[in-house]
Amino acid sequence: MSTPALPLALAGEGATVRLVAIQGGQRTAHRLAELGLTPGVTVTVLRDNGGALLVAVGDTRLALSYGLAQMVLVTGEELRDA
Amino acid sequence: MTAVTLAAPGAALRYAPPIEAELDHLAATLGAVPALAERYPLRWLAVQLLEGDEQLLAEAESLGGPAVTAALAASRERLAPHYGEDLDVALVDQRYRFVHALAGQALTRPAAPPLTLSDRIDQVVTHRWLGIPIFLALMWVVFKITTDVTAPFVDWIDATLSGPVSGWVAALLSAAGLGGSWVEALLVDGVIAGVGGVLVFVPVLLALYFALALLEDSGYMARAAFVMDRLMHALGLHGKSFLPMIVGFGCSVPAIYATRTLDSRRDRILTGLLVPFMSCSARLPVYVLIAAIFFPAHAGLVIFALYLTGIAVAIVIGMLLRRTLFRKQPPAPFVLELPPYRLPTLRGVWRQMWERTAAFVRKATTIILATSIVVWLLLAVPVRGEGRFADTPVEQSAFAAVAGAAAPIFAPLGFGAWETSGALLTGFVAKEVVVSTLGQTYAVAAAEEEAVTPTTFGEDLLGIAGGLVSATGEALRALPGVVGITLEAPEEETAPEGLAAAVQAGFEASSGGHGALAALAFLVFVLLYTPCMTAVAAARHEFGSRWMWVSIVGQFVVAWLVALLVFQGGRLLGG
Amino acid sequence: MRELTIALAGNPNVGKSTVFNALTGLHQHVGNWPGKTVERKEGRLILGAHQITVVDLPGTYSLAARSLEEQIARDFIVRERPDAVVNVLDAANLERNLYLTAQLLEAEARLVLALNMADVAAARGLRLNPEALAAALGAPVVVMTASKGQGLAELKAALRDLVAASGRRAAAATLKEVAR
Repeated sequence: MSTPALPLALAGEGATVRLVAIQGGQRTAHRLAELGLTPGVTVTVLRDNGGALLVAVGDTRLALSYGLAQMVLVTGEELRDA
Repeated sequence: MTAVTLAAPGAALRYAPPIEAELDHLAATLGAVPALAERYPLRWLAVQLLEGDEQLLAEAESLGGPAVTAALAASRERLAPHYGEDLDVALVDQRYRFVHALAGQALTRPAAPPLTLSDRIDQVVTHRWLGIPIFLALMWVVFKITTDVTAPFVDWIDATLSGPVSGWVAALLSAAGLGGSWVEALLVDGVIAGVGGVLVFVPVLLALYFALALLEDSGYMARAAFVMDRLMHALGLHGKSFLPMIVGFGCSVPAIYATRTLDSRRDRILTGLLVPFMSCSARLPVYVLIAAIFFPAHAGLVIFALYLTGIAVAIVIGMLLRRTLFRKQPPAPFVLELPPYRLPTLRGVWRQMWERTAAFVRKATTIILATSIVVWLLLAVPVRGEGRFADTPVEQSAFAAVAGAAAPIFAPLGFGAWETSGALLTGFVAKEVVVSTLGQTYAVAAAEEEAVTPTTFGEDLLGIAGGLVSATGEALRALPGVVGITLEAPEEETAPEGLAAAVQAGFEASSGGHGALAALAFLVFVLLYTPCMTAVAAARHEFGSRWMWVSIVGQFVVAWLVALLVFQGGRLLGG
Repeated sequence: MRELTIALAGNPNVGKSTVFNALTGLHQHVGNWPGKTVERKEGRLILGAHQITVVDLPGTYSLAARSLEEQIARDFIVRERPDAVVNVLDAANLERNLYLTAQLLEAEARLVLALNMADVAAARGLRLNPEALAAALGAPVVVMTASKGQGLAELKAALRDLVAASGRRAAAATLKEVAR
């Protein structure tokens, strides 16, 4: 729980992380939350092509530009035991 | 009121107690405003206001006055210690908790979730190195389908309309005693030519919509956007804009309709403004003719350079537009759902092809028919000489007068003669006719007016049917070409006898001895100005009249400036 | 006889237009929403003695009205008050899809849930329990694979029941009016 939060854009391909918060514009936070990126949810980075991420959130697959992924704060704790 | 009687004892979505308390307060305040109570469910309205809905807030404040404003401010203040700035995200989050519980009741997951087929396909398709080649290969297929495979059908429609159909009309008219009259000329050269201008796009659009429906329904389109996003970012666009651009090399009309796959209106319009700079296939005959006359040794190089010029101009204009007209609208934050891959159904694909093509025919026919008739009228009305209505030499027609009046605009570009400005004028209707207009205006006898052998109605029908069969055969033979195999050598286009000399002399005269430079400037102009009337109709259909005009005027100005740069710049460099 | 209206609502990419086409067949009309550039599709469905207008709302993830599509969908549901809203969901992504359902419930829409693409869900080993969902929401739930025509009869049956109930309610309302 004490792991510091970092932007999702830095998580790297293959990482499974827990979403802590969404920074930046309220509109953006709202939109991402509606797509299922709510605090506490588990996010897996399936692809990182250097400009955008492909992430899995539950059964949803989302493409997320770096600009947005920068606003999504996550903790890097591994969740294998969850 | 019916909702009350329905009131099945369903699961109610309850928020955290502090929020629920405020919802009660707000609903009570809102309920005191009869206009609001009549229009909206009060609890729902209260939720929307807390969630920060600007439109509903404005409405509630204008109907409910300061009481609503005060109540909302008070509620927000009481909730601030709990949620800070994130009240709306908290509401979304709590809704998701409710949903999570619901899904828990309705759904049992397998103990070990399998790697889905969709994810496995994505491992290849979105691969860092394979993704772009796969995308480009698919785009190549789309491009070939919309051009090579449809070309035989386009020719068939064209031949049917200009041959048998025109013949029938003429026969009907002469039966009515109007044979050879201006009515026949109007119907054949104005109306049928105009309708033909729309109909020849039908196979192209059916093919495009077929390809688009497959890409969309299979779920691939979203992957393409992910894969191409980085490259397209330079233009201020998303990866999804790449497809219309590619289609634009075949034809601007389906390319403009292909912008419909983009999510935001800003992206659709910006892409739609850039698409016409991709050199469409109808411009190619003009390049071939002019390049063969002036640059016989380097024709291929000149044509290739023109294509590259179009792309370069699109990049520059894209960056300019992003900093000017679209400055206040940054690209919508790019988040896109990648739906699971699915096998498209035949019925769904067919329905999309049909609906979208029919919409084009409905919307485009009027504007194109009108333009076609106007051009015919201009050609028919004599302003000088002995000619009669619908029977006047081109150079004495109103068309020549209009073209002559427009010619000075092109003088700084080296081609300020009525013959060339006339060709550009008809080129505004369709690039396919530029070459034939040049033939007409340079008064080269159209050598290959085929002798018309009288045929019976039955023979005509047989001919049309036979044409369709052979077109289908040709299209099938073109299919291997879709994957890059060419079975037949491309046809050579050659300039008709006499036209070359006349064009050369014309350009030399209008440019003060810099014929080749003027020809190059002319080609650049043809590359960059409005592709055709149908593209204009498509732009109006998709983006509205205002953007249609921005597109027409903008392309004209860009074409003029770049052509000026080529001609005057070339002269300065001593070309 | 009262003219009935039902709306189709759902996320993008859930096969909503397939459901719409299956319900309305060739009786469709495509236009634009008044004053908007967004396409409006409307069709006719005949259920017994009822002629029903089916409106295909733009695909949205939410009713928060941050985009034109969401605003159109929300305004139709809240202001036009269709007699029923068929909420089409991707059965293979149930949780995210139910978010819109939650908002539709809040907007007091009369819902029929269509859990579409059941074949994909089954292929992923997901087991659906429509009865539990129906009981929890107090709304009919139909499991379907619209692309293969499966579940269509059930959806129509659910709509028929709803229409019948609505007819009874309308009659009751009229009686009340008369009594007054």
